[in-house]
Amino acid sequence: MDKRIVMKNTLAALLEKGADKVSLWLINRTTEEFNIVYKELNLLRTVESQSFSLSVIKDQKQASTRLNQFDEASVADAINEVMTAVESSNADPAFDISPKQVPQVFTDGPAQMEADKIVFRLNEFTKTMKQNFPNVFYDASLSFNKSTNYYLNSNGVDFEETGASYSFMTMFTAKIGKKMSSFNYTGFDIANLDLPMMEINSTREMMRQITEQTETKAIPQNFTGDVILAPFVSGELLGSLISQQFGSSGLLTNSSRFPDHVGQQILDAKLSVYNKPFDPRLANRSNVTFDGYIAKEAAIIEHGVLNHYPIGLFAANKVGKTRTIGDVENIVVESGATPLADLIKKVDEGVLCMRASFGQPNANGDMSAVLKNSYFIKDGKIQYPISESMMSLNLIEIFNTIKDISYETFNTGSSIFPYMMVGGVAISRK
Amino acid sequence: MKKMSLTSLLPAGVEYVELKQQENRSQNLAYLNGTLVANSNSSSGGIMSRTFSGGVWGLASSADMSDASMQQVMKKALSNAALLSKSVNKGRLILPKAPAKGEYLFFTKKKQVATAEKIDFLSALDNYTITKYPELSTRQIAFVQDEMEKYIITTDGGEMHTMTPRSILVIVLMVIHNGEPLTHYDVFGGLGQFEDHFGDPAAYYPIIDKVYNELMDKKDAVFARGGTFECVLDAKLAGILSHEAIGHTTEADFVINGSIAGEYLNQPVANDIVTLIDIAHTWDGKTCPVPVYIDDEGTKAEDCVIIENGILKRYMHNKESALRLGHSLTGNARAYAYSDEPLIRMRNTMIVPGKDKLKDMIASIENGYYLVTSSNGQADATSEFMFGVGLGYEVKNGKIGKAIKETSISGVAFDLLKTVTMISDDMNWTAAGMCGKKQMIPVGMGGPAIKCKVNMGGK
Repeated sequence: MDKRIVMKNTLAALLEKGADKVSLWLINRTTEEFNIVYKELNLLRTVESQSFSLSVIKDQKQASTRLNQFDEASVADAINEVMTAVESSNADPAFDISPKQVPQVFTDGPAQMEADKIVFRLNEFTKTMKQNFPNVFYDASLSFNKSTNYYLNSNGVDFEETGASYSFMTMFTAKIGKKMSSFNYTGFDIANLDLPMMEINSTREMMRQITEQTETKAIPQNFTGDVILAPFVSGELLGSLISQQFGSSGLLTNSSRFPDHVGQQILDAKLSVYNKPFDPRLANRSNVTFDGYIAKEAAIIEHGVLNHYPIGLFAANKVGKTRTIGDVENIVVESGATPLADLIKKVDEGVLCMRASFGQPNANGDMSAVLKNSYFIKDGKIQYPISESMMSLNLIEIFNTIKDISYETFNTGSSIFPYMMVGGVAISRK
Repeated sequence: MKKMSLTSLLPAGVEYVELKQQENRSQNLAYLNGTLVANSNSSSGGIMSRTFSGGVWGLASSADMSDASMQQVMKKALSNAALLSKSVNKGRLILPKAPAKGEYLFFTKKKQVATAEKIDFLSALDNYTITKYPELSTRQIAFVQDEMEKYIITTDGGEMHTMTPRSILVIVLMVIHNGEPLTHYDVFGGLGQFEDHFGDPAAYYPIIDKVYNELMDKKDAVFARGGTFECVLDAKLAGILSHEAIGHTTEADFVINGSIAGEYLNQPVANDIVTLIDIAHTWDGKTCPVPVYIDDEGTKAEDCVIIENGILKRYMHNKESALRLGHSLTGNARAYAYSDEPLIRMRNTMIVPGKDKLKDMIASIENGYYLVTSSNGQADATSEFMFGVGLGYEVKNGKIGKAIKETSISGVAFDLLKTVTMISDDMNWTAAGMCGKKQMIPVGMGGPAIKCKVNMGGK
């Protein structure tokens, strides 16, 4: 049966059974994933998947269920299950669904996969690796992903978004004799296969680096200095900060140090962080938010000033705020004007951190991380790859002491991040 | 899950084919400060066919669990392998086999309770917590149940039907102290459904008290000192060390891709009191948290003794890695979703208990730390690891002192194992772990406490 008809029938049945409000997500996805394993094409995997999420509110109580079978019996079971579950919930006035909006259909990305071109690009990648980086061990995959998402709710909201993109991922390590590097990885989503994977973002440079990282040295002594955070690292740390301090989890668990700070300067003025769901540079754009609104272009943080809490409808209602932009998925950090080479020249003593291994930072922002695939910098020059070193920092403090931001960026396909130079980081050796 | 009849669909005259029907089911219930913020169920089922031909794999899957759909999926898997064979064809390769057949269904034998009763159980825990500890700024009480049901048949004689459930209770408490949020959490449960672990809320009140008391210890926490110290790692940390820092380096796909463990086979990598095993399903007569009797390639699952008395003895394998390295199969091929290919995954990784008592181990430390819980962990092909420490204490002159602020520990695991001097005689499994390696998958981690030298992150 047509997916839209299944959704409309389900919505009507849930209202008939006593739901006050209903929201439904139906997702259809196909993936063709070409895998290189042990340096050779090894696996072609075809995935056809679907999911149907039913969420209901009755007497301000909420429950949800998700299934991936669309036959009448399965959907009827799901309807009964969620209506039984909602009776067991407790009421909270914060539960709600998005208001009526103009129906919209979004279409993005390539219509068809170019299978031959995928094989060509992967064979080209293995050939380049063999010629230029023979000591690097790696796996890689290049896949074509296409999905259609439907959102429908009982306030009359009706959105459909179809998107498609290619996704590349590689994980690698180098070994020369018995000396080996740490592993590293890179990956990104792209709208087409016009360029070799080796020439997108910093893939080639990371392969060069991994080869020289088979020889590492300890830093001369513990010190407090500057760290240049590579885009993957700056993005991960910034993501943790946003989630903990400005996102739903930080506000709902009362752990945010900035619970009521819209309009206030809370981070370094050099930092501007945007949600850009319509940025043409991004291959994976989220047009509809999880809570059923059209996504908005907005500055979350502009020159260090908090403009929006990126929280969904429930969290906003629960903490007594107005929902403005919802949860965000396309974060773009404004790049600077300084080339990475010049950032390095500015460092008296510090580290170029290409990867960091860390866990959940403490609620107050304190954290430590193992420096991976990273370099010691002295007097403005990269000295050597380092071994067994850690950095200790506070997330709020480092994003308040940004010394500079690079011109170069890394485009993951969903987000764009630059290198960031931050100060006052404690670096310790084994 | 209504089992399909896969036997009649299995093709003849092919190199190797797996057919799979699988359904993953889960339930999430969560209270946040008295509000039931999660009350959800989910299920995701489908079929998969994977074929090995000419040295490459073709895989296809569909959510449509019908015979006609399986015929289409099998055809697509074959055509996928044929497409890759145009670029890579190694001729006919014979995958090793050690097939087994069996049914292992861990449905509860107790009367199943309704969702409403589970919510009542959580509500009672929440009420107890806020009544006894009103100064808490945040409390989260959550229940998660995952069930993975699989029916797999292979052309080389493997056949299995399994249903492996896991039930977890999570308690998270937070207090604001001197303007700073302090949090602490613990996780309980393991193999089985809700009824196998939970029921009487009062049985969990002492556990809530313990989590609260440990949170209060953190009020006076001091920074750990950075550097290398003698430490006792409690069982939860020893388990994650076994899994992350050693286990991953000895997965044969990592070994083929250059892992440092590839250099150490049959060589000493640890003090000779250390034996480390990836248990298939049973240890000391008891079923482990993630029992695997037959893996997703139809292979009989065996315990894999990775380190025996300090010597690295064996790697974990799937069919392809065993073929490449000429080793015997171990039964470590596991997949998470119906559409996933089996990868080499750990099952229940543990250090074998020793003869020491935990109190004696702590008493033997002059100036170091007792590290109790981990918050997360990551490791490297070099065996360099990093674990977050959620709860730990200073130890001075053999006595436990102040709690330390949350920190990280790091080191090179194969170096650390050489510094192990004491191993406790008890054993504790952690059953809530999810391991990420392309796919997420449930794993068990366990062990006794160990005394060793560790690099502490700190000030």
